[in-house]
Amino acid sequence: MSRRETKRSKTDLYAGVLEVLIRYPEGGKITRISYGVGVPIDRLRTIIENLCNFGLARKLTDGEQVYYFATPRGLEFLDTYWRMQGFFEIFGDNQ
Amino acid sequence: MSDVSVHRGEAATLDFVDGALKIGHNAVIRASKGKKVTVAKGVYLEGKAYVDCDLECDSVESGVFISKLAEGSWGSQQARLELTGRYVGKLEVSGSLTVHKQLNVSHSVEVKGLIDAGDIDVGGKIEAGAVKCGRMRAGGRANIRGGLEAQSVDVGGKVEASGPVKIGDLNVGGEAEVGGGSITGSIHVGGKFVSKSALEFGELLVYGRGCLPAGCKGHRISTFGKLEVGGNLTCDIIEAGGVIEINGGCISQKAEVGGKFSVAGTMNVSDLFKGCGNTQIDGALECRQLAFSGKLAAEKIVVQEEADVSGKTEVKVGLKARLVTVRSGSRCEGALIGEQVIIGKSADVSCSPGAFNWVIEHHAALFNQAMASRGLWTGGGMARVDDVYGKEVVLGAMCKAGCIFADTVKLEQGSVAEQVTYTAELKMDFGAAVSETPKKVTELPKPPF
Repeated sequence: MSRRETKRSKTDLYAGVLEVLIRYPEGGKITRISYGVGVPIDRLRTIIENLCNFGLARKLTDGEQVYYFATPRGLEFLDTYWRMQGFFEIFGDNQ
Repeated sequence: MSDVSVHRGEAATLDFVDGALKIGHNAVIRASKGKKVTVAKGVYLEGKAYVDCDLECDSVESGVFISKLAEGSWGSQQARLELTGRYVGKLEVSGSLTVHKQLNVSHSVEVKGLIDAGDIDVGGKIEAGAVKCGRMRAGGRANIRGGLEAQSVDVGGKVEASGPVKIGDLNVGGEAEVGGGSITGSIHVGGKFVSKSALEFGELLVYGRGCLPAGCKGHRISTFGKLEVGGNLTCDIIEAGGVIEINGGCISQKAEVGGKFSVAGTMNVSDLFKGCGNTQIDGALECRQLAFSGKLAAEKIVVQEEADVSGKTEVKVGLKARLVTVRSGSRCEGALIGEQVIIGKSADVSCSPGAFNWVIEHHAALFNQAMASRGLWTGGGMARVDDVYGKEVVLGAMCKAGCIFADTVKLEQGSVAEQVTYTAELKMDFGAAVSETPKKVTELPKPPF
């Protein structure tokens, strides 16, 4: 397995988590999000905690299960993130 | 009807299971007859499972996983122990996998042959020789060596499908690379989209970078980043926010370009070509209506109705339209041909993006009023054009033109023309000048095309 070419920034990780979350509209479990983003669960917990604090994601506890959702603000962030990536592509800053 | 359990680490040889199959962690399944194991009901994974043959079943689930949380206190000390299982729901199949209903695996699925399933839901990575399914959803990556056929594909990270695809909707967070085929619905890619062979698509929205080969056909392209097309492109609607480079010709119904747009061949737009920024067309541009502000360069421009240009226009042969409007401050290289040609009209602000149109309009109106009160001009002017051929030509205030050939010519205040040849009428305002004596003729020379 090849190593990642560039280290993902904190913003990239936030966007990655939200990308996985929007694929689970019924709520994403931490294990699946972990596999989706490719981040260990202990690190993912901190990232998701931050996203919840920023209002970009929401946590819902149903008995023993904990589900995470992307909020409208999270979707707004994701849209802005990809637009900015588009600009970076033009500027050539993402190489 | 009996269920079968294969315990942790065991190897089992099966043929037909007339019930459900429970596979323990690191268990191996082999076929006793032929090369296929058939399970009448579902397959339940308790961890990593290896299937050394083809597998057909009703569904695949990996609901069981180890996740323990223990909290305890000893006197004033509190302890918290959390254990999460690592090998959760991983399936490796050396043959093909047929699932009649849902394939639902938490971690990853690796199949050497074909996956034929109702719906696929994988938390992490999916690898297969080929995939045929209703809906495919993967949190991380999908790597398919052959063809991919699905109603919708929804992947968080990256999709690689080397073979031809037949997909309804494709939604990818990061990158997508397909081997051509058809994507009839929408393609929404956050990062990069690459098609290795000709692709038919519905709507293509790429935020980052897109690469299409020659011969692609689609309904709509919207890009914010950069789109490179290897050859000819046919697309009903093109909306380019960033950079589009087409190394061939382009046929479209409507094109709106901002940023940089270049076409190596001819550009044929059946309706409106609207743009701002920098557009370079090596061949001819043909459209019904043209509204452009910025730099526009082409071999030849033919517009069926109105051409409204501002900025710099460089045309080798010439620009032909029924009505040609050159906005104030513009520079046009190449002949202008039209029934009516108006040069130096005040700037049209409708091309300006965003909600600031009214601010620009308001300030433009105030500026024109201020200039008019000083007796300078009443809007527009200062445009420079080469030769003009038309029935009616108006050279606005302070504008300059080469030779004008028209039935009626009006030269407004301070305008200068090198030569005027007319058949019906010449009007010259105060301060207008013609370098050579105007000539009234019975027949005008023919335009270049």
